[in-house]
Amino acid sequence: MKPDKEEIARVERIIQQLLTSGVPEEMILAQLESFGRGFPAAQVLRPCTLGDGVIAIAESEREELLAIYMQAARQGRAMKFVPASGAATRMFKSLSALANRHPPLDRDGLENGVAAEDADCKAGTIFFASLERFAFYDELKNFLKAAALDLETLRQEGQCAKILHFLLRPEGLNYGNLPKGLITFHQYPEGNRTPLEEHLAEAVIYTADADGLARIHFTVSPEHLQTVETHIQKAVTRSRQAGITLEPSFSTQKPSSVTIAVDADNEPFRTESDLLVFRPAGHGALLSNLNDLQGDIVFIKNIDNVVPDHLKADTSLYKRLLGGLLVRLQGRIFAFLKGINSGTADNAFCLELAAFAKQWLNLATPADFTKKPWEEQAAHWFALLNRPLRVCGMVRNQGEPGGGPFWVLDGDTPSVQIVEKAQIDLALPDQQAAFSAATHFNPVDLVCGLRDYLGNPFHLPDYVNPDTGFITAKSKDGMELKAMELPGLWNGSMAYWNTVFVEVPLSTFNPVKTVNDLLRPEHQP
Amino acid sequence: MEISSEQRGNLLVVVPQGKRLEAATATHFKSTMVDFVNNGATRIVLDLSQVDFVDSSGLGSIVSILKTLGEEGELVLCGISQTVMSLFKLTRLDRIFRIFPTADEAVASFSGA
Repeated sequence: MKPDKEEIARVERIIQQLLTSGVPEEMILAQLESFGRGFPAAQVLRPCTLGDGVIAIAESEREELLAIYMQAARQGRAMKFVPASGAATRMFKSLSALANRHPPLDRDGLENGVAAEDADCKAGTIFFASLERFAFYDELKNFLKAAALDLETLRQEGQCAKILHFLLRPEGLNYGNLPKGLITFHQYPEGNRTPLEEHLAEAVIYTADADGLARIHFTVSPEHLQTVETHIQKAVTRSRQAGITLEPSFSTQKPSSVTIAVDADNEPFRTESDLLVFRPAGHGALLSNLNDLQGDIVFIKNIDNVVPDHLKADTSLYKRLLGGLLVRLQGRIFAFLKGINSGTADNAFCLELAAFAKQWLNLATPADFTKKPWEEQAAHWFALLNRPLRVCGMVRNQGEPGGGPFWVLDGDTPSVQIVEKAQIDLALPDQQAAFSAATHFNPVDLVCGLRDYLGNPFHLPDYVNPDTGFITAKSKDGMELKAMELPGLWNGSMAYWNTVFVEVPLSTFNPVKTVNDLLRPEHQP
Repeated sequence: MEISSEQRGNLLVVVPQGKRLEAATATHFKSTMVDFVNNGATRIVLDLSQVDFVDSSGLGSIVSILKTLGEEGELVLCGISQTVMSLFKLTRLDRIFRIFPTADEAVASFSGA
């Protein structure tokens, strides 16, 4: 057998692809094995509800918690972590579809589409009717003016396609290709703000230390890193002029944060040129970025969940309350751990610890456990308590898509977890019933304690449940493929953390999923 | 990585002794193999029975040796573990080499050719 040069060149291209993917070969083999084996569905016992996995912070506790948090913040322990690599593609999905129509879309086309119940046309009609209410209106108007065009004239003439072209394409504002963080969201007399700038403003409110220094970390896609850094730097300079010191930092999702795709037979999916296909592995890949931060108290919040300054009071209040609860719990946990370490733990100590763990951390004491020697009990509790801690805000379920807080069985141990719909086997009646009974959902409003009782950072990859990834069906060039998502950042990536769910008001959750969400009152001046 | 070799007639049987043929060892492996070729070896059996794992750099070095041998030479492989074979299949290397279970079978394939 003598391979021809083309065959050898093809092999070399695949090898080169593996090298540039950055994914270790052993990991690829493990992923292929996981496709074959599949991921077990989450074993949901019941939803977490108020009093059963979700707690409410009493009015009477607020003052104490705020004071505890502010002391920790003043010591420089707090920072924000904002996953900001998401593209605005989905936000402008309907408008992009309209921009691609042939013949180019005009007012008649839009009206005909609405009459035919076309969802994109309906979204487009709302968009054009309210154009002047978007914070990016002036930006778009000025851009068109520079191109010798008048936005209002185009609007009156019903030239929808042209307006969308200048909004979405690189010849215009390029909103169809920018990360969501760079879209102008909110209007202010002194200058409009993007979500990136709103997160900076939030960081100042609740992460600033005694010297007024506020720390915030953004994860950004490599292709937009330079643009985001420049954008943030301008905001930092403006803040400095106002006497505020911001310390932004950035990281990019690692090239290795992709997974291999397979075909229906779980063999590697190949392109026409025989190359492999890699797909983004989801937000779980950001655990590595979070781990690299070596942070202490870290707030995690999505890029698109921001409000203008006049509505920030609730958000900042609950952030500080969650932070205060975290610090208070850490105080108890660290004291227990030091007690165990000092060798002074006895039965009474273990009983007190067990009561605390049950009440606050949802950790049950195993059956007959109290009959075991206290040394054994202490070792058990040490292993359970000496873990990263997260306090997660949960809002009342309003029918929003996404994950929620559930009691889940892992082996024979129940624990509270944030579970996504895709992780649950809804074909099973009991699982469907548990899912339908959910009273709260996850707005991604976490405060994390990432250091141990000695002040050392936890090694976060040690607390991941690798069995909580999931496989989804996708298509590429008309062919079916299977893609794999790694355990989500706040799902399986934090499966073995200690977890506390706290009810927070809906006013703290204001995501912008589509462009028309910016017309909601909470995003208007 | 230690690399042993044995001349069997006009064949050279090469046996890398390390467990892993990867970025750290591939350069040395490749230069040793190129030396064999420069010293006149044209028909080589590469016995990977001691190797548990080959990364992309290692795979690339094997392809590179195939190219160095050119039209007149031949490189056949043997002793490939299941893990290494999975990587060969992933990269289609299994389609450009003759692969045998053992060195003896690989050597015998030349006499029968």
